[in-house]
Amino acid sequence: MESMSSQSGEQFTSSLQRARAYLSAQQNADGGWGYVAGGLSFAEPTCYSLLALATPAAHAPNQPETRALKWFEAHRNPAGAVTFEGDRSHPDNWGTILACFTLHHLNAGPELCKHYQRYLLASRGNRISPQAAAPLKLNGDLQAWSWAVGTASWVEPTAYALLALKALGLREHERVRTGEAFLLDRACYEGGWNYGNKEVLDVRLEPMPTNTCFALLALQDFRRSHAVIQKSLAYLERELAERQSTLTLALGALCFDVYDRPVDKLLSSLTARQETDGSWRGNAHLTALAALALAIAVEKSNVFRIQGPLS
Amino acid sequence: MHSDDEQNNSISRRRFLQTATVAASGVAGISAAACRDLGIAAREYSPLATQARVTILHASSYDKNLSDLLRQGMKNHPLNVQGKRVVLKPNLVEYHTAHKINTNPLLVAAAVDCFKSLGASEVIIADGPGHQRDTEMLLELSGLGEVARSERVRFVDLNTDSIHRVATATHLTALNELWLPETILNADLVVSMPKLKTHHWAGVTLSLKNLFGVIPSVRYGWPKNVLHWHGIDESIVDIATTVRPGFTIIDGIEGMEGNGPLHGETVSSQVVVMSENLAAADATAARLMSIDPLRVKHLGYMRNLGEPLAERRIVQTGERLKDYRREFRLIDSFAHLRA
Repeated sequence: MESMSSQSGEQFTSSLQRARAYLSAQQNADGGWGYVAGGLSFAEPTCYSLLALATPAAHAPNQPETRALKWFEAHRNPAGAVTFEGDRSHPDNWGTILACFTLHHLNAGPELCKHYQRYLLASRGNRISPQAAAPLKLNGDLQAWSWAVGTASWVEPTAYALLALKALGLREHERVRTGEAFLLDRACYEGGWNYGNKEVLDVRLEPMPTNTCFALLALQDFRRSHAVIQKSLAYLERELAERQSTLTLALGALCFDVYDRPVDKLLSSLTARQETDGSWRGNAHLTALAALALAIAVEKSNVFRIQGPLS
Repeated sequence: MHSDDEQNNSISRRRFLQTATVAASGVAGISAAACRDLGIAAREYSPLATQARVTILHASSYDKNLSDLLRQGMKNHPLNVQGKRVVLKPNLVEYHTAHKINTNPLLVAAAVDCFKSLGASEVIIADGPGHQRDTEMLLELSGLGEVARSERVRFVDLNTDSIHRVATATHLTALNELWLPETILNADLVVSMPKLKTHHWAGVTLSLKNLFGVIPSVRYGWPKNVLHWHGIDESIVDIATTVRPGFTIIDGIEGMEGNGPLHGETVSSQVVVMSENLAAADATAARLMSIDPLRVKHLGYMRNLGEPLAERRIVQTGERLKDYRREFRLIDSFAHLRA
């Protein structure tokens, strides 16, 4: 990343500290995090909060992590998946994928992580019939990952799964190859991704920045000269220059960083949106993602950077 | 026209939802055979009324004093919202400069003002967009965020709210239960505020289809694909009969025809439709689009459940329907809906 002024550095450091203080204070008694203060604990804010609270210098689990592992233990079904509060009969499909990525990254809960990995590899989105796939102009045979069990594959959960499997060293696994093919198949014609449909009834759909960030992160070790990657990065540059939100700024920074593009301006815009309580919009998910983005500048770490040689 | 019981029914949601899953009142208007056909337990769902009142209001544009217009229309619908928590559920889907997709925020602002003036203790705007995870962006681009700020009301993202399990009141899908947001379950009155649109998978998207937005994506995904796999029309009915909003205000000042809900063309239809009965309001709105409501699959289900969709069972107030009827363009796969 580009050099950073000492003023920016101090600003980012202070912002990150306040974000972490906010997240620490928001952990529920059950060990998880809700999206908003006091809200029901879910896998996504729990995973991102844990990742955001982990500092590179720490060698032992921090207290929030120890408590969160209890939440994961208490929310596991016999198939090894994360479950929703009060419902052990239905797995939280995408929550399990995120949990796998998170625990592996933190080197925490190795037994849980193994369960999640097995679940992740066994989980796949439904095949889409040729009749249903035709008006969508997509390859319905590509079974990647779905949000919920028994439904079709979509971009964001597939991106999470690819990030997890690649982090686990399974880049050559056939599910990874299928997942990458799925993302390429669902890319919008002019670059970028939306939730997962590029066309409906002869109308070409537009990309969305958040999905584009996740897909690009998942494909960071793919051939960077590939037209889809190039067009998608160009789309994201245009989009972030035109309109911004907490989510797009944080994800945009995390994404551009792994593609070796400057992120300081995005981080400055992000810190300008921080609230006095240290949060972004009083939301643990957004605050954790913002903290992870700031860690790029402050701690030279990017939670989504896949280690190892790139294509 | 409405008995006290009927009026109370629409604003005692907390009590309804507390009791709906464990006991139920008798069913009026549904034959046992119809129930068997629908695969429902006859005692589980009771339609609001054998007859419904629907008001059509004229509004040539969003520049008019819509608060006054809504207050005028509410005189036909004497809801008691004094001291109640009202949740307005607009249709907030995506934002594209070329298409008018969402419920216009000025109408939402007018509804906030209207319910506050009627004595609501709290008015909340809430939705769970089905495609777009970035609700902050959507709120800002659509103008709804500005409305929430200027009207000093909370916006709740239903996709990430705390959720609770509720048994479905009907069983047209195999879902049997829905996980619903706390904000919806704790509301005294939920007001569906859709836009008058055709829909490329469901024929129309009105008060009932708008309720997909109360289903939390944290559980059902972005999009809420679980509902598609269980059947869109069937899911609409199971959600509507379970959530059971007490009122609807349909934004037909500008509607959408053709390839809705996102890529259709704007129609200046210049109406607002209001009712305590969502199925009856949707039937009227369909007629305004020159669509036979009984040919719309989910409205047909509602009719079979005993909801008053036939014109003879709807007391029409306000403007005359025939004066505002427009022939909304239908895509080929829904050409059979034309009245």
